Amino acid sequence: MPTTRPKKTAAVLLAIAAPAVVFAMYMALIWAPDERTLGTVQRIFYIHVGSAWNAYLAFLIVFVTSIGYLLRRRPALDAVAASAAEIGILFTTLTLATGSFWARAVWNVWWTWDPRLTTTLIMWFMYIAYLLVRAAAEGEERRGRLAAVFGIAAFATVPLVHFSATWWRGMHPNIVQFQGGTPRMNMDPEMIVTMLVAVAALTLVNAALLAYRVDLEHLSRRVALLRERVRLEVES
Amino acid sequence: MSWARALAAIVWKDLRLEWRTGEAVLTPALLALLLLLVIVFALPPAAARLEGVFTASLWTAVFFAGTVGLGRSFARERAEGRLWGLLLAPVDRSAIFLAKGLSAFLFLAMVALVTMPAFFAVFGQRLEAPLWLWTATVGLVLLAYSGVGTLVSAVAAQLRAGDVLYPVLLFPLLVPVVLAAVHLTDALLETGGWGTARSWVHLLIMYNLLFWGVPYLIFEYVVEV
Amino acid sequence: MHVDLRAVTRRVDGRRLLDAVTLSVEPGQTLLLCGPNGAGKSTLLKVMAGLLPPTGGEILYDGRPASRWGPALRRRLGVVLHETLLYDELTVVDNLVFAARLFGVPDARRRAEGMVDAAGLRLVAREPAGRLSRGMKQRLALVRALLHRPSVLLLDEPYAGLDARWSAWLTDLLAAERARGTSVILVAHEWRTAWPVADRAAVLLRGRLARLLDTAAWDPDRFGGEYGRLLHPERPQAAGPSGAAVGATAAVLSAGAPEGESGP
Repeated sequence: MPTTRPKKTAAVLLAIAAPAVVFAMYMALIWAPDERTLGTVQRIFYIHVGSAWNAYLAFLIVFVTSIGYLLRRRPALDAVAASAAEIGILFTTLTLATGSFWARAVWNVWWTWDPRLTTTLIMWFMYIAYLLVRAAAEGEERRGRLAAVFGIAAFATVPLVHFSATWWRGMHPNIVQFQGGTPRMNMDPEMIVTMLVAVAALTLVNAALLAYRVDLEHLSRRVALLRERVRLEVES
Repeated sequence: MSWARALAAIVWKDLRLEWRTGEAVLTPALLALLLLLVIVFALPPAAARLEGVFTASLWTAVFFAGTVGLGRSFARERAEGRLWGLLLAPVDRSAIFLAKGLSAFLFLAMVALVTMPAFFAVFGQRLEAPLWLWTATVGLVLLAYSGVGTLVSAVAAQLRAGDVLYPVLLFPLLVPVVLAAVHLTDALLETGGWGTARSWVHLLIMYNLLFWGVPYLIFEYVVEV
Repeated sequence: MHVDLRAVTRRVDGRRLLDAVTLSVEPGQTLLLCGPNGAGKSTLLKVMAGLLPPTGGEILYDGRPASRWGPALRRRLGVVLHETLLYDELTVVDNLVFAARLFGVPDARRRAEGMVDAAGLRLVAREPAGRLSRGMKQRLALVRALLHRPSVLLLDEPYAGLDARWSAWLTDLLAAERARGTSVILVAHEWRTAWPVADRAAVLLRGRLARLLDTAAWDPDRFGGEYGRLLHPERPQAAGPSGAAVGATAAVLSAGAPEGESGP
């Protein structure tokens, strides 16, 4: 099992991600202009969008590695899926939390049953359920297989959940709007740049976390294997 | 041909078992009616007449009661190695999924047939829409429910404490169906047709294709013991 | 049907349940598979039945790899597992009718009724299978596996739960199957009961094939001694004239207590 290489990958990713996040924070909190009506509160938006994008990305990774696992049966793919699911939940939680702070400031409530909010919460539950499947399955092979099946089903539902939200009018702002088929951003160019930098920085964080988490997963599997071997040794 | 015969054999067997145990129709139907009583008692008298309360009560009861029977669908096959008995059948294993899904659908339809009139009666709700439209809507909803319910049942049956986990695993996946059911029911009750809620029918069709198609493709992996 | 196992291996979670098992069974031959608990006997049977995928090697039926046969192969296999595969709430007849339909047996009900008589279950034919005694369930499981006239029989402990009379019935039944040209792989912890019907015997130890021999060339006592030595290599080896008898005792001891469900 490779143990040294991923550690190095993770360290390198972290070394890039850390300054990138600091820089993105500088842009988001100081450099970017104030929003006309919302004022300084709007700055939370950069972290919010970055987290949301990374939640989707992490769940996409779960989906792809799950399919790969069913076809190839490589434990490494299952380890990536397990890790990405946890990271996706983390980013979904961040998305919900930052959204909630924003809502308190702008709508004067912590939470509202707006479609976008509701569906994000459902996505959160869906991947908690995914972790429950992992926790309740016995045997590494079976756990990988059942989790992969659930991971595929869960991600297939994400777009449905998401689109069902757009059919039922909500109050969640839509930054990207389509006019005659071409996307148009209702934002200041400096804000767009800041948003893109924040998204990129958090994606680097995502990658670093994933590398560390996968490494941890491999280690814990090795420990389980060694423990099993010791048990057999003691018994015989 | 032998594929269809094996499928029919499994459905026949499930109906036969149901006749002897009442696990998949009788118990859920009773539970749905009990939920109706609880809801009616829990609501303030005036609230029962409010718009949307009927729809919410109806589908909450049907979806919850349904998990009782659906969750057992594969749990029952796990005992005594019965699933192995099915896997030994000389047909493509997708037949097992389709058969279990089909019997789940039949059971849910029977539950709905028995309990829905009671909901209409207790809430004093009149059905403005033509009966065929109502049946088609409920049918699409239950078809989607039985597809995803059967898949999750097959997964949960292989987990520790799977019957306890079953609803928790199922409901997040089921949300689009619940939303569609509620919106379409409201539209049918208010306008007598699907009207602007028509897009929810498309969503249901998409969902059905997804949750009958995907398990059909990967079922071999799901039941590999 | 010719059955060929070539280096069949199954590893799960890093443990080797089957380790490069190679053996073959000719049509009309019966192979007795024995070994202690956890040796991989049942796993081997399930892999052969296509219920568990092998992680290495291949199984050939009539020279064709099982993976290339597709579902049609399962029509040729009759399988009895440790579990009964029965639905407790369905009647004896309904259990058989269901199995017959699942396998596409023509005139399923007539065939099922015939099998009820063959297994001596006429008196309980309309009883739910759950009310049957262990021995009756075993008979039902056995005839269930024969409904579709398979050409390979994979039997896990077929004698379990049968008393002397019904053991003899099963022995006759297996002899008839052999005469028909059926290949039989029979797993038996209590190998002595099954010894008379076997042409060859194989000993499985920790997933490995430890011994494969012709039963014609061995008398059961000598095999018992050999089996005992395989199971406990560290024990002082009994040599000399009394060797066979001591070995037989060792084998009886090491075969372990009947698990509550075997024996009369």
